[in-house]
Amino acid sequence: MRKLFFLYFLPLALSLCSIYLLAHNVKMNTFLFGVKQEEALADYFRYIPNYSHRIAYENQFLRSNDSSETIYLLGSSELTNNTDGIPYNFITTHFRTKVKGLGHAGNQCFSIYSQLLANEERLKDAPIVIILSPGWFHADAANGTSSEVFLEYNSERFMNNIIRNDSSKAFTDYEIKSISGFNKSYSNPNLALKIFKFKHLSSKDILHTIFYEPIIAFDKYLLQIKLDISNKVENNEPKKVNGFRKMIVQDSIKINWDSLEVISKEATLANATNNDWGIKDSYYSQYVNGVTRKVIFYDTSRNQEFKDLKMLLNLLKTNHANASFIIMPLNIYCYTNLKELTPTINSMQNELNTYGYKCLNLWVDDPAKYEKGMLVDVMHLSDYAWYKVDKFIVDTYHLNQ
Amino acid sequence: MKTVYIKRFLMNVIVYLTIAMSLYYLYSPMSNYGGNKTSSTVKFVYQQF
Repeated sequence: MRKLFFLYFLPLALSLCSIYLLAHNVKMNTFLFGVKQEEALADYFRYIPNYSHRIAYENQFLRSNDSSETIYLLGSSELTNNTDGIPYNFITTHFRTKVKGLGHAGNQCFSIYSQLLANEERLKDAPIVIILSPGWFHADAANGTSSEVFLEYNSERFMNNIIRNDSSKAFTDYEIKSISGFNKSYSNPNLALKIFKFKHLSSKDILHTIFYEPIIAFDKYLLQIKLDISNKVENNEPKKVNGFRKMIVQDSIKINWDSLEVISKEATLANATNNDWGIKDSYYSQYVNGVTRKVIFYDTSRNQEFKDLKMLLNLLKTNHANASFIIMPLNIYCYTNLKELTPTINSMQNELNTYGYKCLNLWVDDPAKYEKGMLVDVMHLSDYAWYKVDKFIVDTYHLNQ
Repeated sequence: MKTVYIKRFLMNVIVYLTIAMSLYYLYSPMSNYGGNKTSSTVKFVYQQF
């Protein structure tokens, strides 16, 4: 027995103790895994396409600046056009209240919903402007956020927040159900995703519940250990911040909106000389060349994106977010059957009205009412349209006296 | 005889420690080894055009 203890149990105990000490040693972990302490980021960014899985960016999400309030502008590809008129440049330059833009192509309703749910405690009174692109609600995009985009925007930290937050059951159930739809497409899912999957399976019936609940409990225990280790190494101890909001300060700035719109419209059209559709020359010759397209319409009852939008609105309302919305147009000359998408757009508008959210609806399906120069291509706003959005934000959030 | 035991003890310590460290290196929360990173097999294709 002594021999057994000396030759086997003692070495095993020694190795386990060593690993325990190693796992909690920041220097050793940094050496082994090359974990770099994040370099200090500028306190302020105007636009990021995603968080790049950087804790510093995630920590800034939905928080005001040190000295002023910040409006969050969430959307997809239209935000990548970094022009003078886009709100995160125009408003940030002219007003004390700042605008931060976040998102690129694919950042649709469910992706935004999850990001907000993970930061639910920051939602109260948070000024958020969401740009709804009609492109999300037609063709393949109507199936909702893709699994790849979901992972891009929703880090394991965000998913852990959702698991640990005391959110309403309806919201977490929707999250679990939606994520479970992605399960087949994940390779090597992390612990948080596994917990979501097991929770979905557990909800099927009592037998599944009995089987999966202990597994969920064990995974949560593992997750806590994992967080303890990674928080120390990545210096990601949750920081308690009292009050995420600041008062919106009203400035006294004279802005001649009409003049800005006239000048920017002329500038946009001056770049659209090789076509009658108001599309920038280079874009038209590279991607359009007179070829028309059709929107592929799904009824709202079969449109997953529309269901995600309804849940997003519910989440914002329940948490008293100070949200507003922009509905974007499509180029009416390129998309020849826009009227087919109008019922969906009307349903979106009705939902926004039901929740009492302000909305700048730029949707046009009548060629007589369509203004050339609103878009630089087939779906992205020009500065002319961005100034309209700027004015909407300034008026909605009372940035100017 | 004692020397043999001590040698085997030290050998076992080294072997166990190596196994434990390898497992920790592969499965630590910080590990980016191989397929340790969650990813999606379905790629998002931006369909603007």
